Amino acid sequence: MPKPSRQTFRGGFPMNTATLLKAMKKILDPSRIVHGELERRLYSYDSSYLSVRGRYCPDIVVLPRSTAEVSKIMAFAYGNGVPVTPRGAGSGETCGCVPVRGGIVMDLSGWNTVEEVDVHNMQVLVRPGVVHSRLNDHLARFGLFFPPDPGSTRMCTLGGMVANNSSGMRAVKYGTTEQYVLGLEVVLPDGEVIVTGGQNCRALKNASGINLTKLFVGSEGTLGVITLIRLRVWPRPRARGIAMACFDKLEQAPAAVLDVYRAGILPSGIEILDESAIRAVNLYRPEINLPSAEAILLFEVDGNPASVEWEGQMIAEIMIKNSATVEWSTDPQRMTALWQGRSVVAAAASRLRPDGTRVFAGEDVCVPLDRVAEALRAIKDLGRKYGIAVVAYGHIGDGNIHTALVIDPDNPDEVSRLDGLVDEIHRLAVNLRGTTTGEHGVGLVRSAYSLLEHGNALERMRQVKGALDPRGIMNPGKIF
Amino acid sequence: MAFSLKENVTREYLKKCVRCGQCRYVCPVLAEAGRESASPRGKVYLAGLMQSGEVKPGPGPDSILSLCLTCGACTAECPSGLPVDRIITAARALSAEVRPYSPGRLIFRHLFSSQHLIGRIPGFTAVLRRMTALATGLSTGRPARSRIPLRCLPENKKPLIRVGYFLGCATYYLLPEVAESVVGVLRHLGCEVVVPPAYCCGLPLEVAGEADSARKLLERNRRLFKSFSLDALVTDCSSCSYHLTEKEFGLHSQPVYEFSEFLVKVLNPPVPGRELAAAVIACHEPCHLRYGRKLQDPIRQVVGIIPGAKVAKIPGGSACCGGGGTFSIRHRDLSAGILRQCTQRIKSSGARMVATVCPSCTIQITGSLKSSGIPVCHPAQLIHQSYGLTGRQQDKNKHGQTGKHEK
Ligand SMILES: Cc1cc2nc3c(=O)[nH]c(=O)nc-3n(C[C@H](O)[C@H](O)[C@H](O)COP(=O)(O)OP(=O)(O)OC[C@H]3O[C@@H](n4cnc5c(N)ncnc54)[C@H](O)[C@@H]3O)c2cc1C
Ligand code: SF4
Ligand code: SF4
Repeated sequence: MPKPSRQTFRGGFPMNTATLLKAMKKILDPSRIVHGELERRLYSYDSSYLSVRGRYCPDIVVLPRSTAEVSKIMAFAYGNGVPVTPRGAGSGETCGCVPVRGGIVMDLSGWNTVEEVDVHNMQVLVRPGVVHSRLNDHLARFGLFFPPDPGSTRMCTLGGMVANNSSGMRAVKYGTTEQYVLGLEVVLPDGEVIVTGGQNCRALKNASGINLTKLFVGSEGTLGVITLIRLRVWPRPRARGIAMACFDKLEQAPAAVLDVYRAGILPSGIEILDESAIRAVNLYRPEINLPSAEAILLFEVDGNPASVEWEGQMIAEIMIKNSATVEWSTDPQRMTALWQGRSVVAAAASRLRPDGTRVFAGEDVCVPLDRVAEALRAIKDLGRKYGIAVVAYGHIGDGNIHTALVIDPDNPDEVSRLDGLVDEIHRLAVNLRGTTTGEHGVGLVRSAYSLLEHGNALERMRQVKGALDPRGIMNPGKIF
Repeated sequence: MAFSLKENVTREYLKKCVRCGQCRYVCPVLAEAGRESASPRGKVYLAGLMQSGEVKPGPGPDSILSLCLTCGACTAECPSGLPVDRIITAARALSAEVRPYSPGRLIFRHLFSSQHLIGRIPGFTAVLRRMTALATGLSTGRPARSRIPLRCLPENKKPLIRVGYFLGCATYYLLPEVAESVVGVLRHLGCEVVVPPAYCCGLPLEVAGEADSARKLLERNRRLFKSFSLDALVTDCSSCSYHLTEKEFGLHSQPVYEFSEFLVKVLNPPVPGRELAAAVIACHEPCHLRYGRKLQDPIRQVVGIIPGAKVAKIPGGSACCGGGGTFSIRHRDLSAGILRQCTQRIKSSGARMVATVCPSCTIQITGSLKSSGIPVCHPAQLIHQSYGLTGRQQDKNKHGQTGKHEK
């Protein structure tokens, strides 16, 4: 677990804000440069708890609006050894966009145009700052959608999603962002611009060459700046239904999920809420009124109306066999209410303690499907051991468990206990043959576990990084 | 509830900001400025630094905190339940405490605290009206008070209900025609209308961080309105109605309503007789109506009963007009950009007219739509016209008595 630093660690580059400002003014309109001390401090955080425990202030922030501008900024930074940290909406939970070595922060969130919807070829070209939900609103007009659906749909940018290989509740059926990225325009650390996935290609499949697109997806801003994204999009399903199953025993829930798969059904989402998550939701939004249980499973199925109905009935039968009480609905209002029960839990967790809050730390482990029950119990036991409330929920369909840890950040004792708990949760995940992160990424907060997870493969990752960024200016201090 | 960064309750809220950034989605200032300092999250983070003493109040924080229209969209969006706009206001108040007597603050405070003063600065209100007229093309006449008596009986002289009309500053000085329509419609629908010489509701002072002065105004108004026995209070301005309800102004004895809300909830007005010819009307919901009061479509409901009126759907819903009190003066470019987004949506709705219930929105939008020939009016004016009241002789002496007017 990296220790937060109250002081900006300087990478030793021979620049200060004034000299950087002079250089950036030659490239950008002054209105797109942030240099005031206080304003720069507002680029020191993301959603991770670690980011507010330290004070990681950039020396300057730039808001480029063209590939040429990004390229010039990178060429300057490379020539002068200045660290550059790309930033989307700052909704990440890993300190990914936080400039832990100072230097330049490149805020791309305002560069948010949908350049083209190529309906005939089922693809779309977007600039990195487009917010996920806005893209899907736009695509809805064409009867299309971009399937990955992070809980942060109303905040995260497509650039951030690609850089983190984000996914969400429907990853069970639709997979993660990487499955949809057909090609990228990337500005490399030295300012060179490349296009991956074929220079002028509009094909939906491409087996030509080493897949550089996949290399950049999930690279967390450590290899280059993504300036244009070519995404595959899908036709919107015609129907949808939701089944809610309530269990007396937590262990029954993961077993019931496996039974659904065995029956040959692939729901679009399978979510779990544990007992404390249920309580939190009911405190936050009493009108949702979830039944009390040790665990609730929410299944979403989508497709054509007939198959949705059939799959819904099958799931209901399987749940009853697994001793659950079950409710199946295709009524839009009821579905919204049921699904809300899941979508509000991230925020609702804080309600368990009026004097505290949930923090994003150790929140994203992913374990093999047959170890989910074990993981859930073990995490609850760890919470008790450290005296910290743990609200567990998440994408049980792919073993991705979110753990909301609820603490009083003003209590130093709780904060230090939190560090111990987070470390044990991460190690538990690796021991269970899972990973410390299913979708949020490594950044700074999980970099301590990279060697544990990857062994000598980590060194090869470093070599790839070194080949593209020999001066180590791209988002230093992350992943490796 | 008044908020102060010195109180524990604010700390409890600040703790709960997880910096998720969801509030960014709805902030009109961020959409235009594109930098984190303009985002609600940035300002909440700054308030946290100010509360812990890490950042001292002063011009630096002031300029960041000024990047807010206090529209309340972020508060409605925040999943952690933070009253973001009020936290920003509380952070502004810290600066006000540190430099309470800066010349700008003194002028501002006195301008709003004592309307007698505004009225008495020779030519001041005339200049204000002239400037508005130039910017918007609205020809504003003499202030409302000189046209409206203190007390008016209903047309049929048998009052169903005794209503206090809270006549706010902007309508009073700049849109007196709206005030006449409000009184006309209320009288027509059986209300006795009392129009005490109200002080400013206090919202402009409150959002500028002048909580104490705002509280004093509220008390003065409370005393003033208490001296009349009223069944309800009505205001034509969504921001006054937001501020007064928020402060539980007349909580039990004199509930406060926004005009269109009052019509829909209380008066249940009959369908007017006259048709408005080919009127395609966009109903612009001011932020304080939508996010502050959380009212569902009262303007649309009122406009909907007017024969011949067709409500145009604004694609994506009403957008903030970028007015926000002094915001439009201090951040002209940002305000103009926000306004552009707002009026583009209105234009693409196909509307030929806009109805709204906020004087600030009216002035902003009128100015921007001047060249497109799309007028902006208050639903009271439309319904006034449709009841056939417009142009009728207002016989003040016959129906009511004129009081002493000191606004
Ligand atoms: C409440 C909440 C719920 C969430 N739910 C989910 C979820 O369900 N699934 C999920 O996967 N994540 C989730 N997240 C995490 C987060 O939203 C995602 O990781 C998201 O993709 C980050 O996008 P961003 O625009 O905020 O990126 P940032 O946080 O700004 O940046 C993230 C990383 O991407 C890099 N980056 C950003 N833009 C670029 C670019 N153009 N070029 C190169 N690098 C770039 C940054 O350097 C950084 O390393 C959630 C977060 C919150 C707060
Ligand atoms: S939405 Fe609420 S919790 Fe999230 S960043 Fe904004 S103020 Fe903080
Ligand atoms: S109140 Fe409105 S303008 Fe102010 S921060 Fe919130 S959303 Fe932005």
